[in-house]
Amino acid sequence: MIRSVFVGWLLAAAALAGISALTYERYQRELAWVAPSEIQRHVPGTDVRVLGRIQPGSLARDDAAGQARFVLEHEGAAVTVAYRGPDADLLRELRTIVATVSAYDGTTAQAHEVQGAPNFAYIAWAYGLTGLLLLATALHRQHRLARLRRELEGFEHHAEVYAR
Amino acid sequence: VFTRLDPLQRLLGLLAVGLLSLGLYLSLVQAPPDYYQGEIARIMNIHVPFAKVSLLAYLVAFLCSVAYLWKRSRAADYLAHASVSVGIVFVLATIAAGAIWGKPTWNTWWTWDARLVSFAILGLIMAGYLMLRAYLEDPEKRARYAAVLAIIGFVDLPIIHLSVRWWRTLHQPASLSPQGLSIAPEMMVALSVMLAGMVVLFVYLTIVTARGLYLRDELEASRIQRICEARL
Repeated sequence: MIRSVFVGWLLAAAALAGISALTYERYQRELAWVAPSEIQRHVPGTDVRVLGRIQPGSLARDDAAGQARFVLEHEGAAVTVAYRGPDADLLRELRTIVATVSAYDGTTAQAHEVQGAPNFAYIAWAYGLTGLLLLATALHRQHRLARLRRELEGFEHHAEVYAR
Repeated sequence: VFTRLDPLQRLLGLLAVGLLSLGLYLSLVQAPPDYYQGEIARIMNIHVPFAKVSLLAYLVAFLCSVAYLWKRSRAADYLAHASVSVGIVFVLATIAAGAIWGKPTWNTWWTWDARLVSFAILGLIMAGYLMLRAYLEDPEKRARYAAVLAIIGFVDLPIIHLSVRWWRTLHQPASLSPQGLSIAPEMMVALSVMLAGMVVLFVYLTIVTARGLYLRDELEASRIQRICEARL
């Protein structure tokens, strides 16, 4: 019984480690972002995700052409973005977004996708905190069951010896 | 019954690990982000299963309490106690995950919303049930009073379920209803696997807890018997 519990926990730990690694890899691949100040350092021809807050007064939409222009600002640095794509509700002044930029000519960045800021810290907290709560409960209950079993077996053994 | 559950307990433990691992992979890696909420909507895949399992835990406690009052079955009493004792952990997890999801979406950790308050009341009923059991010494009286409390507290379950229809609430209505599915199929797969994993985990923890309660009583009975024998 103790061996099977140990194997179970070993399997759970291995699965958790594997999923954490895959999640981290996905985060780096799909959700990592750069600030507007770093956009020039990026290799031309590849997509780069730029995070920033849409500056008040900078958002100009051209609904007929499906385009929008706005200024993204983060930590003092700003970049003008020309976005062409579905008019997401995300494009609002003072909202922090991530724009996927495919080209930058030194003054304006061309973006083809916008998303909300990842907020991954909240997800990590929610999964981590509740996961720990469940793990602690499972460990505590299993430990108590094993302790009671040992106590009862020991008690019965002593009772037998006493009876003899 | 409780002494012959080792193989089932092992099987449930491994099944829970497998389903939850697959569910976590689907939820954190495979499922697409929500169109409007983005990545943060991934918290739904733990928050909703926690909430459903909390309600399931109380439903089990209610049914076992009815069974206890009807048949005076000790096993039913152990299961009701174990179910509440595990269920309260799921209630705490639901509220914690909901609060963390609420901050970036509602801009608050907590609000006095009908769904949130009725769910918190479920947690208080469970806490009251466990306190009642801890304070009463007579085992028969303890089981009977606890069963009555569990049956009275059951009235909170339909209130939780219908609160989003009865009152204007911040909390969203059910994604799965007779009117259809208001969630993308890829997200639904991840949510279903997580829900299945949580249900198996709940059953596993309830069995482990109920066996612990049974062994505790057996040990206590053996000690009393030993003392009586020694005195004779």
